[in-house]
Amino acid sequence: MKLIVKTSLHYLWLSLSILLATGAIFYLVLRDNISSEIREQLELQVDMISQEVEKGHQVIFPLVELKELSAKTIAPSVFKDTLIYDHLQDEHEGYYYLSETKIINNKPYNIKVMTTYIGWNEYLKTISLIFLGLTFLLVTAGIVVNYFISKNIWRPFLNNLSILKEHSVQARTDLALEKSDIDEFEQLNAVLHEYADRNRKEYTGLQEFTENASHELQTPISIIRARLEGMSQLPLTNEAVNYVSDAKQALDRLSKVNKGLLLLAKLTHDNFPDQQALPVSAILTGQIVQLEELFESRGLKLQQDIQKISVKASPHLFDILIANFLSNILKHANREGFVAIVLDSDKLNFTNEGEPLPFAEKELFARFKKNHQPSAGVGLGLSIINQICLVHKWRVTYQYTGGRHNFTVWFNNN
Amino acid sequence: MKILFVEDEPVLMEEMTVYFSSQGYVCEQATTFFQSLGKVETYAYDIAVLDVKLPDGSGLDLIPLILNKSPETGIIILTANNSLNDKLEGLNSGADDYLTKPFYVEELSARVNAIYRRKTLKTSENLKFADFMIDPQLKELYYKDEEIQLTKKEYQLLMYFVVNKNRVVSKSAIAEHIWGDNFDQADNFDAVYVHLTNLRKKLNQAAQHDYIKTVYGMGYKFSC
Repeated sequence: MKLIVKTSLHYLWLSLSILLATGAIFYLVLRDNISSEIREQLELQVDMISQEVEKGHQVIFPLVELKELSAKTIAPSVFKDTLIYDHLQDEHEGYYYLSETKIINNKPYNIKVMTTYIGWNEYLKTISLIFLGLTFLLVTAGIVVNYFISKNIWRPFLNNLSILKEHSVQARTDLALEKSDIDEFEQLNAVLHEYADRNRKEYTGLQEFTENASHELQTPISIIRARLEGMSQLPLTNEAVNYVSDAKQALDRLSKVNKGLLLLAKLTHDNFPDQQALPVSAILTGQIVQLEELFESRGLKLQQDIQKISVKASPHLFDILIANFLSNILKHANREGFVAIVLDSDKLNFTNEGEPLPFAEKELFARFKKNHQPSAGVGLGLSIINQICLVHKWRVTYQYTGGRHNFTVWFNNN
Repeated sequence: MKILFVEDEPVLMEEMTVYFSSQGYVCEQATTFFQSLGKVETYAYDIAVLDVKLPDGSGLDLIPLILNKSPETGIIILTANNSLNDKLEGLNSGADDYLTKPFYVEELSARVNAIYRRKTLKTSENLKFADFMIDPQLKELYYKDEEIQLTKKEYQLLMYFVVNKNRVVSKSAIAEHIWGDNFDQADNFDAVYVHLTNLRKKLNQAAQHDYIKTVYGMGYKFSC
């Protein structure tokens, strides 16, 4: 639930209960005051009537009953409400009456005077309506005020939220949060800055560690390779040949993983000053031609729609990007399957028929995520692709529809 | 041909010098920046193979000194660090080529030869073996003045074998030479086999001799 909705709801309930309570009190107090005013008025009337009777005047008024009593008992005065038929309006209306027993000229009289109730129901309705209107106005005003507050006061907060959403620990730029004149938000910003800095330091540290470790491994790998190649030149028994050959294969793999990790580490923090307007179509076609017979030997039906365009990119990285995509297709496309490569000024797209992913789609670009076929590579290709796209601020998307894997690099990030 | 190797790792140094000596090159060694300084200031080399990271300096700093002494020297940089900056810096300061460790010594040999032919010999000198002749300029193969049609990859393969003759070369090394090291070589072994079979057949048809031998479990060996 949004904060504004939550506060508005609280505000609504609070205003409703306050207004209900004040409405009820208002109604009760009003009724009490008016009742006592009416009673005073009726008492005055009774008194005036009794004066008239004392003077011997005939008292005939509407809404006045005067009765001479036989017994000299003085009943206590009664102040009550009653219903009287109103023949003009054709309905019963509420009235107050005051009935009092008085001894006038030594004779007991019962005087009953009435006055109209002035429709308490109407009062109630009017008061309720007014209060409801008041509630409505207060709530609307509250929401409007809240809305403007949120637009202005919350705006930096919401902007920062979207900045944070976009921010990655791999980003090369500092976290730039919008300033606010509200202390709590400024505190939050300070904490976030510190948090992002710390994360980045740890991340960079990890990358440096990977890079140094991979770098240190390169020389021993070179030595082992040199020695294995040296051994290959010697006359060996078949048994020894198998040992050396297995060792070479494993070393190739190790060397591949190591190079991949080194490249990934470099991609996260190196600058690539060789970025330039690159004839990407030529590079792409060139690499496809290089691999022609590999496509043929797998019976892949390759469809190309490559437009002559150039894109600002690092030639070194673009080569690797294309090689990884093509390698991926050669590894995972179904034999005799359909393959399409499309390049235009917006995008670079690779489609190939293949089995669905054996893991969740979102893990596709993760390191060492691969299916466990013997032909599978070292599992770094797609993370390298992803990282190269990040360096160039391109977006890479993946879809699997109709039995076809579809990778697209979007050159314009929007 | 005279080559200077600057490399601080003794095993790699041994591997390179033993191999290049066996191919008939004159090899000079230096293991530190300081030692290299003395050599490059005194002698002119056809090719210099420089490790970037030396215990007492950077191999890249040797490039201007070498070119100052003999501008014709071909320079190849070796780096353990697959860093673009090293590569750009090296190529900008006058290096001709760049190899990342771990590399195959056969690949280094192919690169050294290519640079040597391009820079030092300048004019295209044809390569000969048995009764065959390779014109590196036109990328053509002749047997007793008769041209043998080769595909681009067969030609690459033949050149690789010729500069690495009498050496057992592995399928990975061949695949890396032809397709570069961005690909998983295991994918390309079939293709290596296909090109190799075709090349073998063409040479065999012309000369009635099998120059390329399969070495069980290891790869192939070209001899003539």
